[in-house]
Amino acid sequence: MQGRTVVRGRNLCVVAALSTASFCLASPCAAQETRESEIAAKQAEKAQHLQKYQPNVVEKILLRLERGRLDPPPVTVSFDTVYSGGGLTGNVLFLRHYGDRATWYGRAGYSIKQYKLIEVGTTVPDLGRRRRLVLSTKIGWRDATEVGFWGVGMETTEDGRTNYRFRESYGGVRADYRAAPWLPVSAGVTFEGYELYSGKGSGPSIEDVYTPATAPGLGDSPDFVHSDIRAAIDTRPPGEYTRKGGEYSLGFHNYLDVDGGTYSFSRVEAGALQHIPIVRETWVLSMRARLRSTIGGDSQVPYFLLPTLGGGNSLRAHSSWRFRDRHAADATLEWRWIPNRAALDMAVFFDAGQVADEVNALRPNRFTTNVGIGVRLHARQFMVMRMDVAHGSAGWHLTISNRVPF
Amino acid sequence: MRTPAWFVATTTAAVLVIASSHAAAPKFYPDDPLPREPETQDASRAEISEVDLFSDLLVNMFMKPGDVTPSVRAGNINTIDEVPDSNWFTNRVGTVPLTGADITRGANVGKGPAPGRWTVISAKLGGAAPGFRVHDSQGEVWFLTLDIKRAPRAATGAIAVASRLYWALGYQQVESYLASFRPGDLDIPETTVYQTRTGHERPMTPEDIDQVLNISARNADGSYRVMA
Repeated sequence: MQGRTVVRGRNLCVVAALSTASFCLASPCAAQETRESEIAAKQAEKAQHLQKYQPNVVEKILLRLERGRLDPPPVTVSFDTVYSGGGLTGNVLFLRHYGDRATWYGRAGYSIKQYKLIEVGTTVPDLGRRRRLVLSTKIGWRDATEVGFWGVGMETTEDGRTNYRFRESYGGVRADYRAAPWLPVSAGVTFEGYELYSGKGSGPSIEDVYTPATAPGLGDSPDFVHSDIRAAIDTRPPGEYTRKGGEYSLGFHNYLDVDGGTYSFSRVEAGALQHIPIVRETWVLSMRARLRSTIGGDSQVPYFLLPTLGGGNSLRAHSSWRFRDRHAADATLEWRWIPNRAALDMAVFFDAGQVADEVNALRPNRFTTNVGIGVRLHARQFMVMRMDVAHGSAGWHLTISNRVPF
Repeated sequence: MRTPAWFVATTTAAVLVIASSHAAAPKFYPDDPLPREPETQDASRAEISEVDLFSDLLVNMFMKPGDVTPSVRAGNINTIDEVPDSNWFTNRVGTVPLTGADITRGANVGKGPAPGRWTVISAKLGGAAPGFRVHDSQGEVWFLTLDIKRAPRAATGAIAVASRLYWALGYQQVESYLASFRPGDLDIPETTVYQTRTGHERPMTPEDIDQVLNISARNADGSYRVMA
């Protein structure tokens, strides 16, 4: 009996131990007797496994791009043109900040037609008591190898195309002031030294077809001090790309020939631009009219500084610099619709323009016209890419640009 | 016939295991429903984590982030499916009587910036609306938000209304007071640092304040309305 008792007692101990272990293993939370203690236990458990949020690869890339947009790297690339008609252009742009908001930059550009540009400059904004004055200065050198010249006047033909080449060294200062938010005024003085050469490209060079009588200033390479002043009533929102507001401007330019005054001349430029948004900018009717007129009939304006029409933002069915004369008038009407407010515009447009040797010779029945359609990818305040296809008397013409037409 | 001891022990253990597994998660505790969520952990070492808003937009528009397990019960509700009070939420509307005066007062417990001269201590770093931080004449720090010129009362009014509605709904809100000041009421000590857009730091000047005020809406009497 004594021995049996010992054995049964041992079994009971085993039962008790097994039961306790099983109970504890099966119910780790059973020690909690209140909801509050249960939640506290869960919070403590969670606190043991906290880890810092790790963005995935896509988010890391987007974060880097976002930071680059807000705080761009000092060296960037762009596709700004060196000179209209130069074709696809690549630029390396170096930008540095100094002071509060001032910047200085260096730019080197090269196009598929071997147009070249080197420029350095600085811009100092927020000057003056009301911080409305912006001062800027720049110096640079440009080489345009095959600029088109079709003769002077409207009666020129497509077959008359020749090319000329010029190199320009320039340096100047400019002041921009907003007397009121809607009243910008600007003035500048720039030295412009030109060297003219035979044109490159497939067509003949200018001196093979034209003479100083048909191309004023042909054979000379004058230097100018170019001064200008401009005022406008500008109700457009800030930024290059806008869908509302207007600008009505008047400007005066004086080119002083420093090599004897043979080619000194003055010009006035007047412009009117208006965007009319319709149904909360679902559509926009945009229109612009310009007049550029040389003052005085006896001044001699070199052919490469005559007012011109043609290219990406006037008479878009024609090549850049297609029409030249002492006076130029043009108008553009665009009906824009907005498939995507954030990024995409479409437009149908009508361009009209003419040049003349006398301002009185600008007549309504002498305008040459074209129509076209365009697709524009844009950001909130600037154009990313614009493709306009236009058709006129010269046939079809495609414009690809990263600038707004107006 | 005597039952073997090993059989008794095994059976008892099995019964206890089954019983204990049922007892592991009781459906209700004596303190249910919990009126306030316990806060037992120290969150003071939380670190800032930058969220890319564009990525956030893309993920939430075109993907299905979050717990993919279906039919999971919300983790922050009590046993009667209500949100208990916590450090971010307090049951107000629908649970306690709220008068118009209560909602108008919202989270405010004081009287706002003390009258007198205010000392600018820093510029406002984030957000679209202009503003800066000041000490009032009692030494209290206030974060001031102004309205932009083309939208008078828009930002300050939206903050005033939204913060009170959210407070009434139960969400934690900071105190917010409508106040006004005149440019002459501001002092700028030499110790106040201004960080330029280019990252350069220098003492703040009256022109820096003017720059903020130039883009801000001004009252007819020449003062500026602010949300403090």
